[in-house]
Amino acid sequence: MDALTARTAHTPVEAHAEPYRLRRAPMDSLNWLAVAALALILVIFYFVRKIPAYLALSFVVAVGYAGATAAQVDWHLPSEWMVIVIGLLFWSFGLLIVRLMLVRSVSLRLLARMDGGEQENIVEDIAGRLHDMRSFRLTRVQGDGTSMLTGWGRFVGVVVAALYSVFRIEA
Amino acid sequence: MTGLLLVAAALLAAMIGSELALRGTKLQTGLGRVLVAWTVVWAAALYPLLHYGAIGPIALTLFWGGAFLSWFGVRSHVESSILLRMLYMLRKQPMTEARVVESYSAHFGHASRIAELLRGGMTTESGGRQTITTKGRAILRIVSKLR
Repeated sequence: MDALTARTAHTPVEAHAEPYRLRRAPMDSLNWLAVAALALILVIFYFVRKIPAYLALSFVVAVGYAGATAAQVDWHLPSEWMVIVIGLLFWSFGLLIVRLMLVRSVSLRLLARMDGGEQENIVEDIAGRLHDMRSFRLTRVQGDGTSMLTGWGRFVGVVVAALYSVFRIEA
Repeated sequence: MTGLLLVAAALLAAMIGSELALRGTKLQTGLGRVLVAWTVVWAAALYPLLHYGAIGPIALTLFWGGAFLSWFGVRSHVESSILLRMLYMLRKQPMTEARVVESYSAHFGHASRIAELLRGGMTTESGGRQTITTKGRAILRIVSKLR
């Protein structure tokens, strides 16, 4: 029984008659398409530098893969297909964070300044985050000039405290 | 659904293994040990997933790479994010913006970043001067191509 026949078998008995590893070709079309989809996400990551456009395109690839391969899935054994789709979404999300780190990382900017022989001052970078916090409505400035957390900011603060504790990060 | 449960269990094992491997050090410093932990769990999960979970090695490897990248991104961001650190500081009491910057800089500012670059092997110190290593330059080249 080849891979495609195994996937499209109509009766559960037929589909489960042999151990999974015997029914499968080493790499069937589901896997080939998954590798192609991942390659496409990596190409998009390299060429599309605008974050909203990257997000939209990589999401289209992951969902496109799911849509294009749904007909090949043996719905009695959908785990592999689901793992691949989740994996593609993980790649999209992980690369998004990598892009954000490359753009915003203060340590990388410091390293670049050292390399360029520029003054190594990161106070401006740090102060810029205060503006971001206001933009994201995490903080607001009170009448006496002090910044305090909004309700949303307090919620995120609780999540951050929990993550610091789980990851054993110095608080 | 056995396959999905096994994958979830393997993912949890890799994340716990990473924390044990890091032993409280920064991710940048202990990245090698973390990669070993993820590779060991991936290798250990291959056979059970193939045999009991109907998930082949290619699917698992693709998933594993994406999961590692996402975990690394979130873990690294939580650890190093200035914004999240300032948010954490403001939980204790409202402060003026100047005070927030001053307080942050005192604990996690220039000196701390320089020390981290040194520990990560991206810079070296000689005669009181910091210079960039080959590794540091390679990272900057990669960053300039991907930014």
